[in-house]
Amino acid sequence: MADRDISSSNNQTMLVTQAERLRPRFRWLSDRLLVWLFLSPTMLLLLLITIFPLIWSLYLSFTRYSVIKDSATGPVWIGLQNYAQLLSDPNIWERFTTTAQFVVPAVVIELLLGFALALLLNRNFKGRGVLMTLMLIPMMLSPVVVALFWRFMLRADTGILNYIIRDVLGLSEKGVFWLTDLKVAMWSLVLVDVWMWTPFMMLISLAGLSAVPRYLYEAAEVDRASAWFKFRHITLPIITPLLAIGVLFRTMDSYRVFDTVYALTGGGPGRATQVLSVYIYQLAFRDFDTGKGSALGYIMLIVIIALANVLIRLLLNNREEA
Amino acid sequence: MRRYFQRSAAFVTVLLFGSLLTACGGSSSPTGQATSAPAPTSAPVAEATSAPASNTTNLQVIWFAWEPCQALSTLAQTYPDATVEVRCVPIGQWHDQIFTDFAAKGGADVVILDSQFIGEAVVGNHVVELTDWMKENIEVSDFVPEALSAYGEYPPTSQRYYGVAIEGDTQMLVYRKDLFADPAIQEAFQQQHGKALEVPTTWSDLLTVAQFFKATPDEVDQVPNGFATFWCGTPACYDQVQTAWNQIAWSFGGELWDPNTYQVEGILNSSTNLQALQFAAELFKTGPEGAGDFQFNETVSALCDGSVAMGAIWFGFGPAFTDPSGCNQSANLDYTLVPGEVKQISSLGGMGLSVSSYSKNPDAALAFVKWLESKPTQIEWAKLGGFSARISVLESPEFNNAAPYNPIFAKAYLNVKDFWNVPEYNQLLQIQGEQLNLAITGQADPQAALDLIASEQQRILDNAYPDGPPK
Repeated sequence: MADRDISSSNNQTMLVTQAERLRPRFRWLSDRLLVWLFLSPTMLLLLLITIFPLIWSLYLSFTRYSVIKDSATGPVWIGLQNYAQLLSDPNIWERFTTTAQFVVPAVVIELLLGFALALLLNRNFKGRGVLMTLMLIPMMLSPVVVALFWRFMLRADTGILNYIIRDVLGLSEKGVFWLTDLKVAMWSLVLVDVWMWTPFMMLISLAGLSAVPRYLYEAAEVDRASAWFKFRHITLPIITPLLAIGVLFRTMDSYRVFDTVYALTGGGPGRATQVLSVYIYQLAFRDFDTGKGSALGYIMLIVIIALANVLIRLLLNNREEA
Repeated sequence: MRRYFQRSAAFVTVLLFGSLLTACGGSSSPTGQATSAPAPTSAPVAEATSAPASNTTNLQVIWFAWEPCQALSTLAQTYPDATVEVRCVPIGQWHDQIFTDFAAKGGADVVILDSQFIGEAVVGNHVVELTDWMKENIEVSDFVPEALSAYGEYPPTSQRYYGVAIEGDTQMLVYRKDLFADPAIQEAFQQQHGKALEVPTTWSDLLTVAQFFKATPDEVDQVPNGFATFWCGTPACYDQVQTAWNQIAWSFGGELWDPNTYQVEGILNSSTNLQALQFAAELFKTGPEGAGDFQFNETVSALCDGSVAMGAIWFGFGPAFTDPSGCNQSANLDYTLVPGEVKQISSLGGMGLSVSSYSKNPDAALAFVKWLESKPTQIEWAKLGGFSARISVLESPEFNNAAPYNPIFAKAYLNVKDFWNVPEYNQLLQIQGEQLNLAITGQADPQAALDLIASEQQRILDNAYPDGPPK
């Protein structure tokens, strides 16, 4: 102990001596300046790539401007006109409804399925590691790649799903028009999203389940509690905050989905799957109505912030009760 | 300790600056690189005489990905005066990529625009005016007048040109000649309809034949479906269902609008067009199941894998049918004009070459355009599968012998018609695609669909031109 004290004291003395030797050369380099020097490249990047476009697009949302047609005249300030027009346009509310028709079923199914899979996998058995790895693969693929191969599988004439439904099981003569039927196309999108992101909810749920203390279950068993009782009064209360976090992440992600929808259905048939992100792309990069596209982007941002706040508040309330 | 501190600091510094350089370094292609050229207040005009490019000059051309783009890429490698890269982007991104590059004042030197894009490109001063340059550098009199006009003139009939025709195109009917010649199938058709089975020349006859092939058991007619074409109507499909249906409507005697008054309501939703749309819905039923999202590739596949007896598609996709390694039915396919009805009209396709206002090498780009449009190069273009708009090339043995469908092209190109190329065409196209697709696939009432298209398009045009069409 005494030897360690002496050694540590010697090291400190050495460091102080080294610092004193360097001090004349780097007198100007204070600790604060050094911190800023290391942070500045990242801050610059953040400023250029995130902060500046955010502020610039916010400005553009209050202007009438087309980046293709008005490059000579520049943006013209029109105040809240873009927001007023968008919020009074029935098309926009239809896009919100379409987005909700995707988000709600997708997140609910992912939650239930993910949690059920986590319950099944929350035990040791042979091959658990391999099975878990395989189940995580969908989540690691690129959304566009997923959408493209699901397009092949969902083809009405030659897709594997209709081959099974039509030719193997004989359930339908023509099969299901997964991507071209107004009533079915949205469910096809939900199916693809659930396939891809259920493993995420499963991971979150598994993390929660493994955090439940074993002694609670043992104590419950001593009192002859049923499986349902243990689940209802032990597992669920402890795991709920983590599930809420998973729901929050998936809701935010699903709300702004673009690549899967664009690659799989393109927003069709008609406008049946034209979610908000696809519509913003249409406004901003096909019609090149930059002002309106920016305004709609901010409306979308405000909605997701509000939604996230509601979920976080529920989460905090739940924590306080616990 | 000091050395450890120094090494750590050096490592972290290198890592940070490396990240900064990587993030700031652009892609290898010129896309997105902004030039320093100020936005032109009027369209730049090409000099009548352009300086030849050095062979160290790099030029980029952008087109959408289909067989002619691959052919152009091959042809461009023979250009002696510059290194030319041809970018073939997915059709869904064709317009968006070009105009996003315009917005960034960069992108390709030579842009191949669809006829519909011309208005939007000219109004934004994104392409160079070529009117005077063409008089000095292009044999204008040798070009099909409709091609010169459709692929480069804006406003219509103004005699001001912003593009030169590079690919003429229209649609053809591809059919299984072996099925039409089969005695058993002939007999079956004769028994059902009391007349011989012939390659249809009217849309009504085509429907009859398509319904026959759809309804007849496969062991008799050897094919499960009658007719296929690209019925896709989402924005990502661009103008597929629109061009497929437009030629039906025009053949029936209908119109899309009055180009002199920009009137749509009452014209688009006429009883003639209703008849044409109802017809298209019936024709759709003779195709493969769920063909509502069929695009070019699916139409080609349906013909090549033998699942349809007939299909309508652009001549530009012809090379896909003549290669036996890629098309199982290659030897059994033949080609003819798309049918007419009251009139013989097919949709005008094809594109023109334009020079970007933001090109860093405008003279080199113009020199490349001049070379590409010259007769010898156009002959080579024809041999590679391209469709020239030069009359002398269309009449040449080299063109007519280059592919089995080429002799049909010259006839088809005489009866082509295009639709609006106003800057608002994208909005007009979108509503038309959505509703036509729903009506054709039986998910919307045809009259209601036409009424909705007409009212929406009228609103778009009235908002854009409150004082009437531009003079």
